[in-house]
Amino acid sequence: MSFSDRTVPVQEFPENVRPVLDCELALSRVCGDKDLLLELGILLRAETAKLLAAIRQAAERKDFDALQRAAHSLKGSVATFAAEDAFDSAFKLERLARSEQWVGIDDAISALIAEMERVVAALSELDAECKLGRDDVSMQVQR
Amino acid sequence: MKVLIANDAPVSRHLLEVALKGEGYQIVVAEDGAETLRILEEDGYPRIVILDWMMPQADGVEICRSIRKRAREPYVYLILLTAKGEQTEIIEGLEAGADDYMIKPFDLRELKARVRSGRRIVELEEQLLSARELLRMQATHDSLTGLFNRAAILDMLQTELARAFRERRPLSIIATDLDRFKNVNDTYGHQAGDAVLVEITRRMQGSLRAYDAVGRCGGEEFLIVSPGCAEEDAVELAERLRQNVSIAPVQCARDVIPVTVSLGVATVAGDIVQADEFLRAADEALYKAKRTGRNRVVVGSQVLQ
Repeated sequence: MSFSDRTVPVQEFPENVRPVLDCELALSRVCGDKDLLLELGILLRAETAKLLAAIRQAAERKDFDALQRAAHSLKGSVATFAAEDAFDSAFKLERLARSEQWVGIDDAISALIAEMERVVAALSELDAECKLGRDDVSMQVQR
Repeated sequence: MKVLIANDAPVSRHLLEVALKGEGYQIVVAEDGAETLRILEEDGYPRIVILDWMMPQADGVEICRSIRKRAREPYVYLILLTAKGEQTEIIEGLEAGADDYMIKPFDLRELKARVRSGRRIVELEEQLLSARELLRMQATHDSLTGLFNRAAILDMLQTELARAFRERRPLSIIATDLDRFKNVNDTYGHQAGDAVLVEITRRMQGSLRAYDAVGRCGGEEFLIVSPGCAEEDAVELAERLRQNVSIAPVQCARDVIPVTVSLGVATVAGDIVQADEFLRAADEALYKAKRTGRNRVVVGSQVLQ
């Protein structure tokens, strides 16, 4: 099975549960360039650490603008990997920050951090599997 | 062709850079709005920009507005690439001056196709600008010598007269006529006559300062406009022209054609003078040079001072 064919059948996922990453979709968006996708994964892991730190600092300072920017950046980056739950969490935080409402922001930050931890773990797993030359790993990384 | 990728997110930046390098574009990268604007102020700035909306220092929409406001040539084709996907945002981006709008996540094939669309527009504009420049050259320059034509050099004279008055600086003109040019055409033919005109143009241009302008006003008549040049310097310049033109005969095929010029100098010293009156003074001096034996410089500027 080739890299691009690797997809866990839909029925293996419980209903209403989405994969952390949909690498098959992500791969199709980059014209099947596996190496490029892995490079982007490395960049996303580094960027995640910086942006989550920026989000925490912005929340402490109650800086809505910085919070909105960081959440927006993270949203754009995870979108490349079709990480739908992480995307939704970042989008929710971005909207709360834009509306300058503190109610619910702490929960939104916690949810985003949790989602990004899953995304980073999934990217690390994918990277390790590719380095080991395994081609039969799932391209949809389950929660 | 240069493409500027303006994006503060490393993932998007790397993705765009790799994809477009593969298409043969020369990639320039900016990580914030201020750097983007600075790059677009440089000579030879990129003609296609892929612009993120949210960036530090100046956002993509502000940059679109700024680029459209300055309205420089050549045109910059702007593609907004953003995670902002609401209809009101798309409208705002396009109204700000973006030519195209793409929403993240994007498909690389679509992005490449959209950049190619931009490239077509940019290349079409390049062709139009070249054609306009050619027409401008044809409208203002003499096709034989490449000098300014009569209309262009007279326009320049008007401009320089106004500047001389405004800045209270002198301005000189030198009406120049090739001696016995009819004889050259009659004796050696019009082809030889054209060759003589081209050669004396070259000799005159070699005698002028960088800020002097020379135009061909008629068959063998030329006008030199010399800003900031007082009478004494103008006479010296005219004499240098006379000597350099007549320094050697013009060789044309097997013919050796002697050439001389007569020159009439007129100067204003920051006064209000009509261009017609100024030209008449130079022409009168030129005719006097002709009447008194040709191949000489006559000054007529006293009339105007």
